[in-house]
Amino acid sequence: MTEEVEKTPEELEEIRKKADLQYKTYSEIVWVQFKKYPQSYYSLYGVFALFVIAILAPVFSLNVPFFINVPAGVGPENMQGMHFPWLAALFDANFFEGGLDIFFNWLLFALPGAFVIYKVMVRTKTFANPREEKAFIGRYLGWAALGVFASFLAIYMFDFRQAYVDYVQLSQLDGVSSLFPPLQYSYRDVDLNAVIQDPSWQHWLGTDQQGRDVFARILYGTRISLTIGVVAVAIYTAIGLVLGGLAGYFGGRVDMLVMRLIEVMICFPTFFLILTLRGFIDDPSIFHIMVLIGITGWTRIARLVRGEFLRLKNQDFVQAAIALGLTKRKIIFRHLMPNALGPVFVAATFGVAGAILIEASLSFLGLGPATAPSWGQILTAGRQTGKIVLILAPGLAIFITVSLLNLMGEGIRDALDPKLRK
Amino acid sequence: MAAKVKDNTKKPLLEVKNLKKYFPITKGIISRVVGQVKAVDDISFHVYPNETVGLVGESGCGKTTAGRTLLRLLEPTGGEAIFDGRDVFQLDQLELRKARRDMQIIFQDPYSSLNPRMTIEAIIGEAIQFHGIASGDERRKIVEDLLVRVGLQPSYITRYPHEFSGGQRQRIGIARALALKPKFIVCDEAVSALDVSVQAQVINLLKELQEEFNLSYLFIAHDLSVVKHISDRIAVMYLGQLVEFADCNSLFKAPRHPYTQSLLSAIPHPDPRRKKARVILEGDVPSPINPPSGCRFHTRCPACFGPCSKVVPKTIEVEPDHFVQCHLYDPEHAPKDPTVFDRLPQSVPEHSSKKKPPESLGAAAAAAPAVVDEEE
Repeated sequence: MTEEVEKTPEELEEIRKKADLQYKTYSEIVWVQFKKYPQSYYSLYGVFALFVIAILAPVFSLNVPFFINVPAGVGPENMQGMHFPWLAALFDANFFEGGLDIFFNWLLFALPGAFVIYKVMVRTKTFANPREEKAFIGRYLGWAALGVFASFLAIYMFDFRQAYVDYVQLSQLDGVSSLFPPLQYSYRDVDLNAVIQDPSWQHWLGTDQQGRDVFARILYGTRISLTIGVVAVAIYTAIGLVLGGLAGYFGGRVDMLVMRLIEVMICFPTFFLILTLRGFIDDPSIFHIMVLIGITGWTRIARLVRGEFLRLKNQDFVQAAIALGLTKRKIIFRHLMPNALGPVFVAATFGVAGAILIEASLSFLGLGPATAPSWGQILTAGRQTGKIVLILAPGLAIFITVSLLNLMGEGIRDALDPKLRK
Repeated sequence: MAAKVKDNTKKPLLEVKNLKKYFPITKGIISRVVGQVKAVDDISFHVYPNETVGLVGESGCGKTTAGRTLLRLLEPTGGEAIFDGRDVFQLDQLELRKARRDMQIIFQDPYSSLNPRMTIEAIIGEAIQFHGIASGDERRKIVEDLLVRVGLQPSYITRYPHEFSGGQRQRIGIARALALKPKFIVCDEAVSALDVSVQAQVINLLKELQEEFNLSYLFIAHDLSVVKHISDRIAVMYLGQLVEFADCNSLFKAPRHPYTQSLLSAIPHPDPRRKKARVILEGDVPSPINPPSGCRFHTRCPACFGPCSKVVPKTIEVEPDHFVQCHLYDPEHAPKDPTVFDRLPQSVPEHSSKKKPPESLGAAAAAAPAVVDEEE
């Protein structure tokens, strides 16, 4: 080993290329480990499918046709001719009042768009090695996420709204041809002529007391549950990372302050704390619920991060970074944070399932958002009708989602834990 | 130990004066300080350019704390460390950051000293970029050169630490320390965690690098044979204090302090038939929270006499450039009864050879309370 290795630049380049192909990054190792747990691996696909369903919801169920052709002399004057109202309705405040639905509708176009742009960019670029390609993908994902979010904000701010047209009634007129999604209902359609119906071809899971289609509501409820899970966990992970990181890195008084705050917080059972805080809000939206879960759930993450920081801060590589003269910011973000994120990631995965359950419980108690088609709310509505299908369907939806997330979390936990490696 | 040196023309690169590091012991919710662990208590030494100073002592005597405090990885409680004419302990954050380019550290544990989430290029090159020395391809070139210099393949730059063995990781740690072209490196038990054959390689590498880059080392270790091999001068620590500081030959030939003598007797000899006196000290190392009064070694010293438990010993220069902290050699407290010297594990040239003929050494050894003959 000690003898010097003299190589020409060309040889070095050759060796480097080979080495790049040969060795795995940390994330690649974790991925290989993760794949060893089939139930978790398939759960990941399940969760992915849930997101796809959430995005595709208006393709399955909306009371607006993809196209409608109104011949001359039928219906109102201004509606005559060929129309494609479905596209416009996706961003129309008449059909989707909440920013959440508009966001998912926008993803329906933005995600395929981003994918196509990516494919084109990869075609036109050449990468020296797979690692460079990965770095490019990372950068691209970052910019794409930023672009999607910025364009959504623009659309949301624009507040697009057309005159309301009842397309279902229009399509029933003579001579009008149209193509609707398989279910001609939106989750908000109240139909007092068809309350508490059994499952049928029109209403796949029947209707509730206000005549709303339960299948459509559960479909759109996926959006709410997933969003609440992800956003609430993102909020409390952010709070936990900051407070836990401060406590762990600086120690002393900051640590004492944060720890006392955590102790006060965990004195109260989380759910009752949320119930109490909920009392201060009249007519909460789902964003209120997310924030409520976010500001009450961070203690676990903060304690995890604090523990990791305390452990890592005295490790030699951090001492070496200090000896090299790096700034605190660099040490925290390049040396401590990446090594502390493993357990946080695991806790966050389980946290998503937990947040979904909390939201469902709140809605079940009638304390959730009043109009949103949340699964807990559908469950309550179903219980009032006394029909078993209306109780089982949302219950099953909650059960499947939470199970998938928990199974996935277990796999991630085991994959990140080197002691459990087989 | 501000004292005259053999070669007065040489200016020390690092001069440590009265370095102290106490760790407070706190109790209760308001963190009341109830005591102090005196990990390093008033040590002074100096390091010349291109020189290796060995720092030895048993576990928990404060060697590592001393090394880390010098680099301000721990904030000192008191003292001065004059490096290149400036007191490191007085520098503010910005100056310190610049000064850190000249002083680096190599760690004991090659497994925890490299960030597992960074590639070798990032580990070695991070500081190069941060200090604005080079970036991009230029940085890559520097890192590759460093890897070659420490005996690794330049292609390793894209790998992660977990893909290397302990010895290789230690070489990476050395390359990282060299990246900023320092003048002074603290080797904190740099070879203790490696197995013997790898130890030899790494030590030889350190020696080569010393010549090439004109480095000074503070070589902290508990393995005396390693220290003997690499050091120019050696400092012996006991319970947070320097008990003896001398050049390598002088220390190994004629150790003065009873602690050094017993420490040296613990070096295993390659010849199994060799009969030797192994000194076993009685008792444990006293607690640094409440160190013994007077000389800290008096509770275990075979040659303890009158002033030892009362007066803190001064540093005595017994020979040019050979310093000892012991009352035996202090003219002020010198023992009236010369037989005290006979109780030492090893005879001291100017005393026992004068008083007693060499053949009485065995008898003196037998009289000493804690000396056993080892025969294998």
